[in-house]
Amino acid sequence: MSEEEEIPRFEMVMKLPYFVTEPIELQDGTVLAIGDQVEHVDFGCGTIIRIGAYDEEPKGPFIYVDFGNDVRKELDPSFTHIVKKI
Amino acid sequence: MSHGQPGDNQNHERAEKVSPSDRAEKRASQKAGGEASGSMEDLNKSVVANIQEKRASRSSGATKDGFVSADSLLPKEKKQKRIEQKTEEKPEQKGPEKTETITDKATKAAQQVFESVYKAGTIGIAETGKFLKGMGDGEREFVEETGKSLAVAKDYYGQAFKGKVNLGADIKEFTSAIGQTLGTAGDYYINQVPKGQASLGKDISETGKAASDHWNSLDTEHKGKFFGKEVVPLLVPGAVGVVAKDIEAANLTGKASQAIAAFAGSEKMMELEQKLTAIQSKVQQMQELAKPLQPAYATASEAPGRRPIAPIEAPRPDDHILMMKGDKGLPQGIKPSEKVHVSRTVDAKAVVSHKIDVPEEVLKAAEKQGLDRVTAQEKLQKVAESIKNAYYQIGDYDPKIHGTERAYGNRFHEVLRENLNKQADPLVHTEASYLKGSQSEWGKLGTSRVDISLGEKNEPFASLCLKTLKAIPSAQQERGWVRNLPKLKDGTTPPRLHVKLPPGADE
Repeated sequence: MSEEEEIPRFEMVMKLPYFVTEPIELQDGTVLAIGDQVEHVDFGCGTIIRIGAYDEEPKGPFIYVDFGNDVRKELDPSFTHIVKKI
Repeated sequence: MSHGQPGDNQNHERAEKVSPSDRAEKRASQKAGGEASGSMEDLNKSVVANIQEKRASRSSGATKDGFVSADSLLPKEKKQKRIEQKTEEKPEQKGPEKTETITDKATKAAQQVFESVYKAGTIGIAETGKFLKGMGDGEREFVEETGKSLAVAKDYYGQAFKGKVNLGADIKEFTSAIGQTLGTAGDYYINQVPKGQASLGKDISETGKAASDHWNSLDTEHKGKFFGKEVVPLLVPGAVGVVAKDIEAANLTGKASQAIAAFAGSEKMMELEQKLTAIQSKVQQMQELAKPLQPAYATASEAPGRRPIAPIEAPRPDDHILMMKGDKGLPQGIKPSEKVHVSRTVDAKAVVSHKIDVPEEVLKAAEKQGLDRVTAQEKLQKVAESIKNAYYQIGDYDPKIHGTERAYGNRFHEVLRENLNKQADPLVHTEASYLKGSQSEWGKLGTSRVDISLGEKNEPFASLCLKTLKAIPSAQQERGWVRNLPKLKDGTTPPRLHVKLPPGADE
């Protein structure tokens, strides 16, 4: 038996999203684009640096927001509101 | 070998090997297509019911034109909302109420259709706009070129679009199925079977391939153009006249509405379905016919004058590729049960988090090293979050941005290292080096470096190997890890987790 076969090996499967560069329009008509500033109840104001979506459940778009001071969060866009459009 | 059989499959495979950005766009299109499919079926039912209702009431003068109103395409809740909106809007209207023209109605209907289909998804407005613009252009060209033969292609494109409008997903599915059929039958079948059947297979193959290649080569706007020019006239010949008459005035989305509304209940649709059923049965017939021909195909390669076909080697155990997303490329030693899943949840404040399902063996290893399970879980959780953040910071691989794939990989490792180092967790170590079972200096001859080691640095309970894009751990790396990494306190080797990013890099 080779040395490699003795190691317990695991595959770490991360369900990561795909990114889109275009703006997204939410159900309520709000259009979000990269660079827009949004506000979150806990983290304050931040800038959208990524927009993406997941193929797998729970499906749906997300925004990745930089709130400064190395705080970046992946958020459901429905729960934020736009502060400033680019 | 005629194209269309195994070569055809290869073409499809090649067509799928696209750049990450194209892949993202393709996924967005497919996703939108998937959503569109479901929505369209519901909408179609609604539209058919509505048309029947309107036809029934036409004699009483309830409708003048038979077109479907925008509201009728809406789900019940939206319809109610629209009624409320209209009620609210009425007092503001000045003068006599304007009579809605056909174009107005169609425009509204189309807007609602496209809102339902696209807005719920992630396809961008810009892309939708491009698609509609292209579609209008395509229709215009079709009208100008009326009389141009689309005969064979129409039937096969119709198959691809049967019952729904899905932006190419079905073309791919259809041509893939054809490719598989022909792959089974081989070109022996195409060349040797009775003339009529052979030409059918060849026709389908060539048309399918042409459709697939054409579709894949188009950008969004041109996909719209193709759709408008080739598919809409196929589905709604009557709509072409309307479009021709009012081509400059009609809103592009209005035309889309006419197409979709007419598509739902038209005789052409019925005819199309019949044709499709016939094609499907012929394809099945081809598959049946192909079965007894398989042995003949196998020996055909030995016939004089034919180039021998090398036997296809059975897949061999892969000692190097340790993991990839999904089952693809997994070595035979790794079973699906050995995958570590990272699931995603959204909390009440809309924050998305990724929770790692740590395998029992890793938790046991942590215990052997004197750490509790909760701590082990927490460390792996932290790593998973950092990997996700690094991916979001860097994005998919783009040669224009990142340069070579190696440069992308280096950058990914660098960002991940920075993210983890900022947290300064004493039980998470990046780029730790080991030599003969002990911690060592970075870069020292003979050492092995792991991307992340978890636990006390000199007594890790697990290690993690990150590979980006097509990179795989080499056999030398593997041997080095086994030789140099410290064993657990019971003398066994610490488990190793492999993660390959970005997702889909192995596809």
